[in-house]
Amino acid sequence: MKPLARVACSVAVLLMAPQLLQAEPGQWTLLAADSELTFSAYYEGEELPGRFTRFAVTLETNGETGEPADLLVEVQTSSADMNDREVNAEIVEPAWFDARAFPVASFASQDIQPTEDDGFLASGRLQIKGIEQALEIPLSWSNEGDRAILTGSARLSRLDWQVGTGEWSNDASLSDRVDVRWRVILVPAD
Amino acid sequence: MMNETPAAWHPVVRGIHWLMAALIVVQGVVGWVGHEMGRSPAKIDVMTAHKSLGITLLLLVILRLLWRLSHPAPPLPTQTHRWEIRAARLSHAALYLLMFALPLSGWLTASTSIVPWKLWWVMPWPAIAAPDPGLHDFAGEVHETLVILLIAVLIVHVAAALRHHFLKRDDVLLRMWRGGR
Repeated sequence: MKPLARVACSVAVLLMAPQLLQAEPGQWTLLAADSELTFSAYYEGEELPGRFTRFAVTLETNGETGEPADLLVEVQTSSADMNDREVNAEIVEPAWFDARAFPVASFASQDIQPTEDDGFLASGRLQIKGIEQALEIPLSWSNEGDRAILTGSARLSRLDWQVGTGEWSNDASLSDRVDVRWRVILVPAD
Repeated sequence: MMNETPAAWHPVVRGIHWLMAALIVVQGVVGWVGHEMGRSPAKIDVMTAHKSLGITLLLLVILRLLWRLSHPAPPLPTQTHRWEIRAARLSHAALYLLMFALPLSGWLTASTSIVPWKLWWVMPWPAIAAPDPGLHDFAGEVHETLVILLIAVLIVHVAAALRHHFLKRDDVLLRMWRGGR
């Protein structure tokens, strides 16, 4: 290698070094098979459990801290399963998720802050049936290198998103309260 | 006294017979109406009535069978043919079997659904199985088939009672109605 070329290479390496040291933001994606997104409705005090069988989670971690920074959850509303064919047929109807018109419900947050108890609070927007509401959800995040576990739960008021309209909007029998829980496994996107 | 053959049915037996007869007709109508209704809170209420009435009928038929097993039945008219005795025994056995099988299959159908209900909207009633869509469909089909069988046996039962009264002119119907001549 000619001396001039050698110098040019050295300069290039020196110029690039800061970029090499600065870590890229981590991209994480869902390992669907081991992940759960469940919910509970309440009918006259009795818990009615359900789950979503199709959903996607993408998460970006901060390049420096490795902590969650950007979260997007997309849920196929037609995949709601309450272990009852009649109820499953009902829940996709316009009065509930209106799955034909709104096939995807989503939660998006670009503001995820650490909390005092080693968890995180994601401030974002939850969209169901095209209705967006601001929502803060607590998260716990544990990163085991090639796998990360994201867990949490949220108590929602279904009527804020018009889930259950008309004769179902009376919360005397079917409570306004719906609890959502998730335990999702994430793996590096690449 | 207990083993002495009575001339007519005991008032308790007559009461429970006609009470159940009326409730079974109401139960059939309520079940059919609920089955035809679109999914709605009102349908849940109609089906809660159907489930509650079914359990009530199950409790009644248990009492009735216990009474029947511990008390002798009045004798059949003297001029009863052998085939008539066989037919009466067979159809009564079928009626008892169906009066148990219908509420039990309905209870299984209700248990395997996630739709909650309380007995007459008040009393929590246990499930005999866990929610299971496959088993729910099967139990529902069995329940509906048993309804057809019950209607068939009831037609025979009513026709036989009317034949005794109007054609044979004996007291088989009357002794269940008012306790004998």
